[in-house]
Amino acid sequence: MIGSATLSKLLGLIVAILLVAGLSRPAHAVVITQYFPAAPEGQPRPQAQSGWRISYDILPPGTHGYGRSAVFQFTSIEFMRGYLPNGEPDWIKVLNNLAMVEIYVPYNDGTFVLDMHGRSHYGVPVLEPNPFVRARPDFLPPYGIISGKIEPDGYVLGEVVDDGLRFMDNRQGDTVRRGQMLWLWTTLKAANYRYVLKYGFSDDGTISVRAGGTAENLYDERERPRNKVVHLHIVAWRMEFDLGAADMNMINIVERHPDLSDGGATFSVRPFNNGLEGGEKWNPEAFTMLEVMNESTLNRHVPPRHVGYGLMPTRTGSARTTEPYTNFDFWVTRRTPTDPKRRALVPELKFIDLPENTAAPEPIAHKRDVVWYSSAVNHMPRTEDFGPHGYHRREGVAIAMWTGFDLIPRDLWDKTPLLQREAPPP
Amino acid sequence: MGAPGLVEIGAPRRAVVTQFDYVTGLLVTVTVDLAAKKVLAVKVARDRPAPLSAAELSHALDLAIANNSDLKRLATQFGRDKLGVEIMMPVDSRKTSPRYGHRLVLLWVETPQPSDRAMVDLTTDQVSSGD
Repeated sequence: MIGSATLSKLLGLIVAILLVAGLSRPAHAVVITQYFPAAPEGQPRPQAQSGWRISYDILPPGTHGYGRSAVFQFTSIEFMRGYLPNGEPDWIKVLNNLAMVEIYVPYNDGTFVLDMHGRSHYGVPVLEPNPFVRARPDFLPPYGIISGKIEPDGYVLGEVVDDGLRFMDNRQGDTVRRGQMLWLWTTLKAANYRYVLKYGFSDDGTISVRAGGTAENLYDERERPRNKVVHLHIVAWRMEFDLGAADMNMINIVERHPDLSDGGATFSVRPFNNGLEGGEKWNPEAFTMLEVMNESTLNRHVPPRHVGYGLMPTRTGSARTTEPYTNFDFWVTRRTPTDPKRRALVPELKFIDLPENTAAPEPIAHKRDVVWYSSAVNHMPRTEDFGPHGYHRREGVAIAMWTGFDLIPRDLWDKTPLLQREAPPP
Repeated sequence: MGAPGLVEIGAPRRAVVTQFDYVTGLLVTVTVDLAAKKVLAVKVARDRPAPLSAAELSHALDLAIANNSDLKRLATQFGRDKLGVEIMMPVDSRKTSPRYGHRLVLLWVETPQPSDRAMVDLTTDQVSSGD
């Protein structure tokens, strides 16, 4: 008699998955509006100088095409950069999409796990049908923040915090302006690991994106040298810039080039990958930054300037493996490619598909584009990760390590934001 | 295949069919337009995790309980069907590895008590320590 498992092997395993392009159930977007300066509850709030209007979804597995895990996805991020001359708030849409889309974890022994694509839970009863950790009041600090709450979805926490010194104005007696920011964060369960996904929205228009790995190591630390337990967490994000006209963005690479023979340096601004889909590497000696400049939307500066954002890495290295999606740190693809075969499959949401999707690269100038960025944590487990006896995975907890990037405004404002200073005489 | 904000409401329904072949270790992914009854794309890959079926998970758990003393103890004490099982689907990327192209399941129990980990190779039905 042939058992079911043997029969599966003989015939090959076939699993059919139905994913509806328009979604099988409506998403319940959460909308948050946060103005700055913010004040603790019960205290009067000054007039708003800036603010954020943010929409996001918590997408359970099986309701989207990013992969097989749950996803924390932003669908609209708008920033208020002060006021128009008529007194109305001056809002600009920064992003149409932002999501952490993959965590690729290669171990030094040659095995790897894909925490988004590789979750394998179709039709299989599992411990956690929705692998985000449900938020609890004790996740919020008991003191030291301006405000904090669990958002209506039940998984995301919102914290408005002091962000330290934003600037010191030497022309006004070293006056200090302290910054504030809103952090939205949730935690993804990925088997033994917990990934904290943080998005910070600052009062000056900066967006800080972070991912941190914590919880239990996969292996005990019995082995010396400890090569087997060493691993990377390579985190990838997908984003679509709007900036007022999503099909008028130019994506550039900005780098610094020192002249080591004669001194001095120059900087360059060049089209990303010669204006084609594909990838670029981060070069620490060139301070490589990706810049998105909109060729339609202007700021209120006199004379007006085109608005933009810079993607500034905050990383300690670059991970390269045999997987071709690690060949580059920045990728850009078309939102709607011309190639009919790719067009039939839009939206392209999987990080691991990037090399194949860009094999015949298409022009990206003045198109709706998608920016992808990956950044890694090199986790070399240490005694501090393994509890009271310092080697057993079950007795310990890995202290969170972080990676990510910042999106910083470039010519979004018409002046130094938040600066209270009389206009100089003409 | 979409996500809120990235596809229009009422967009055509599409399906993804995946097949893992134990003999070759290849994963075939087919995307289908259900309304047009048309195949949109066929992809063949090695080194890619494929969804685990309920039958495969059950078989992997049986193998792990039979070959791992800690899992056997928990199954005896609490009952196989009372175990809260956690799984990962690792891929061995080394082309020289005897596990290259194999269907691997790293399996352990979280509730009612955490267990040791077992690496189950469903291609060969072999079980090794996953710790």
